[in-house]
Amino acid sequence: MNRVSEVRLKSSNKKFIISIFIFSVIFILSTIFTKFNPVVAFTSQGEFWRFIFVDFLPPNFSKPEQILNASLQTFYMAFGSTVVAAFFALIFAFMGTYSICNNKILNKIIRGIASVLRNIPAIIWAFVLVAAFGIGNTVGVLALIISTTGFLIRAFIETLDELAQESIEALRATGASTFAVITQSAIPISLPGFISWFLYCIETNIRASTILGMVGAGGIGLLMTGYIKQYNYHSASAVIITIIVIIIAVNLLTEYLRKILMK
Amino acid sequence: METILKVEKLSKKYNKISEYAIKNINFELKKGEIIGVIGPSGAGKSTLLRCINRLIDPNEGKVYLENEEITSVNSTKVRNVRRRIGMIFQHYNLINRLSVMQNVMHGRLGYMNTINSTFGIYTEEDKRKAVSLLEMTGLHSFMYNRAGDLSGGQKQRVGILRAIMQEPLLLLCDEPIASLDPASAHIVMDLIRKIAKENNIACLINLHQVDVAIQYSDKIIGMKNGEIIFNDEASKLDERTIEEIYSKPMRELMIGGETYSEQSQRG
Repeated sequence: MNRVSEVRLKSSNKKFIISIFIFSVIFILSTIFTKFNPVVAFTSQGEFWRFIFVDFLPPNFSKPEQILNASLQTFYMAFGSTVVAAFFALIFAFMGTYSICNNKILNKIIRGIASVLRNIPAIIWAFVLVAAFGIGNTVGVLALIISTTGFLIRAFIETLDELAQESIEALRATGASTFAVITQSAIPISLPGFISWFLYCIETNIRASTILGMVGAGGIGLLMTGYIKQYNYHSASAVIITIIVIIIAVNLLTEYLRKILMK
Repeated sequence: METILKVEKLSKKYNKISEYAIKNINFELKKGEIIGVIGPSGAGKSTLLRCINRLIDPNEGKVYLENEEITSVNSTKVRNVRRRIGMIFQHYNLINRLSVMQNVMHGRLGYMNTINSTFGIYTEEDKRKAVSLLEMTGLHSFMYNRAGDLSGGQKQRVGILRAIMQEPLLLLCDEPIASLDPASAHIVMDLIRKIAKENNIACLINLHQVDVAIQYSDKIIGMKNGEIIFNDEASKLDERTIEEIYSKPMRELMIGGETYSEQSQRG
């Protein structure tokens, strides 16, 4: 018998098999501990659709001014907090990039603070702040400012490091002061990147601020939670539909702004 | 002639374990003199240039600009040193989203106070000077175009004008034509030589192309592994020395896309 051994593409499949095995074990353990049964998701469909069509729909828009008010609050929270966060992030980003601030220790401290701020979700900040200051819009705005500042510091530093290094070096070589280097080269070069990240944060903060409302941080989320707690599902569904419309509208708007501003 | 730049025992190591990027560099540059620096990639040419205007701080040695020692000046004074040294880059390093005029004006930033330089408020005199330089180089009609819309050769000429606006004593050119086609390369080199000779500006030019270096420089410095192994009149650079600098026989040395021997045959 003339057996020719197969030509393999990789030296070994061991890694792949081990990964699949570990993945499967974790999945099985997870479903056991959470008592999640995938079959239930299909068998209890009747109950789910009954809830949607009987309890939830049709939506009750009988108090439009209340919904409008809450939506505006949510929008203001998202927009206001993103603007404030972008302002602080810009300052700290310059302190966090070596090409502008050549102090490696300060760079590391700024990056460290940024990653702590952004890795703790806004909802946790809101939860802590609500406990400290009580329910209200201020808490929502503060929570968003904290997490967005962290995120934008990181995003702005990466934009600067990626785009502006060479032109910063060129202006340094002319003897320009650090302020002039920032306004005459770092900002003009990175502006489209900065704007793009800013718009991205507006989008995510609209979404986040609806969730923040649920822990008592004001806005449309608070209104929705209120209705749900009163078992007023028809009004709650009206709020949910409004939230979906707002999110889609803001996404379309930022997409449009990106197109005209990035030219 | 008057010595503008004097470099003494200059050395730089990027970190403790690495080799010297440049080691014990000594040379002088006189007013209006053009020195071409040649050598293979990694020979330390860029490091040498950046140690002179302190974009990189050397570990040892001294640099004198007009007899003033500049390696030890503090960070505020280093701006006064840099503004007297123009620099030209391989990738032009323009601010692509700003106008050609704005880019040329950047050459004045080192001479302005913080408020004016931060907000880009230039004097009429400086602006007129920029316009006349743009006219001289034929870039006048592009002055309000975005720098990013220009061709490579045009961008490099804007880069040169930015450096000239500094009214420098010394011009450091880091591979000024490495990203350009041969025709644009010659326009750029002609402009650098013309400006240097007319205004008596000393030039230190890093170049990959040996033939271009010989054609445009008064003197040649040959670098290898961070050290100077040749420093003399351009006419005294012979094939044996070139082979030693690049550690390769002449026929394998690719110059501007063709071998050196092919180029000399062509004339």
